[in-house]
Amino acid sequence: MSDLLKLYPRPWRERYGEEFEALLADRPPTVRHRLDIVRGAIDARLHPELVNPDHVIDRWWLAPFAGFGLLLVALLIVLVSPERFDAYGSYRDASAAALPWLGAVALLIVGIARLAWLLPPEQGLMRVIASVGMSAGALWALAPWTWILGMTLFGAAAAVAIGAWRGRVLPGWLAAVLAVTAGLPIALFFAMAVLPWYAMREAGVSYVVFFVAVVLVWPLVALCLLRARRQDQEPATRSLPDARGSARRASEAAQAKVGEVR
Amino acid sequence: MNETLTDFGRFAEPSLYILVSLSEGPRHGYAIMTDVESVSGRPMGAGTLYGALARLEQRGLIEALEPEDRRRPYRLTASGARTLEVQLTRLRSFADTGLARLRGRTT
Repeated sequence: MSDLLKLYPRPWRERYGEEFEALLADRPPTVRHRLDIVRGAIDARLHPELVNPDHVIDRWWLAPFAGFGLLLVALLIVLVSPERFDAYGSYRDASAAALPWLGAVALLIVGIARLAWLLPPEQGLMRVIASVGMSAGALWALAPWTWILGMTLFGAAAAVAIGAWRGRVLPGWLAAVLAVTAGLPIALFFAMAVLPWYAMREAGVSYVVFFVAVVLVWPLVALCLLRARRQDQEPATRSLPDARGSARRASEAAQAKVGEVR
Repeated sequence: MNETLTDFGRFAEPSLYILVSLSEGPRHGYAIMTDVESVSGRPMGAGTLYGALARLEQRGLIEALEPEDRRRPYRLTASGARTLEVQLTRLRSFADTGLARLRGRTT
């Protein structure tokens, strides 16, 4: 299989792959045409409904993705912000990053909330945990230095990932990647709070791991929404036969009781 | 019945070229690509070609035929022919209006 063809999603390859490869064999692509194929593969991934009408992508993925953009803007502002000096020493005045930071956290919460919404009803506990985490995490947007609030937001992302894995909303590997990436900052945060200051350094763990894991949560939530199956309407359909069954059972029980009374 | 291609986004123009190409008879991907290039004078990449083919097929404007040696020909459906006619009529009307105004300005 051509490397370029591998960029396309599997259902697309099953439908068009053979003729696509025949076309590439007839006319080997130039650099410009290779770029066109990459664009086509991105389009095929964003529009899976073209091959499988039942698979419609959740447009909410744009929220955490845009949030990731704002987060990068906020980080950039922090890096270039001027250094100030006061009686206690020096600090970076990154107040200009407040708005993009607020937007980044808000959009991440929107993404996590959407994932929580897609969870099937039997994952209600994970929804509740996620709701608590998101509510506390929202305050983190106003006070970025309160990392404990940020940890509750990552806890919400991890809870949603576990619920999505158990409810089969996401492929197992992707749910695991989100759960581990969101769980890692929490584990490191509490390790830093409990262990002596030099313990992390001696264990070979740097703050870079912590921050990379934090930043990766945004694109991962976006990726999860891109891959999530929209099951928000399925439970109703799925429970219909059960509902009919219970109605029938209730009617039979009632008739039996009437018979007993008679 | 939607007889426009506006919802195809960047695939609208390539889709129109593909419909024109298939109006002559069934063609497979490579034949469509070379025909479109000869008509439009611009190269068409495989990514664009198949993005447009998938949309046209989903809308029912073209249909796939049985593959011939890995190459699958496509043909215009009745709905595709109607859409193409509407599009070309609009283009002719647009071109006529533009040309008439241009002549009026230069004379």
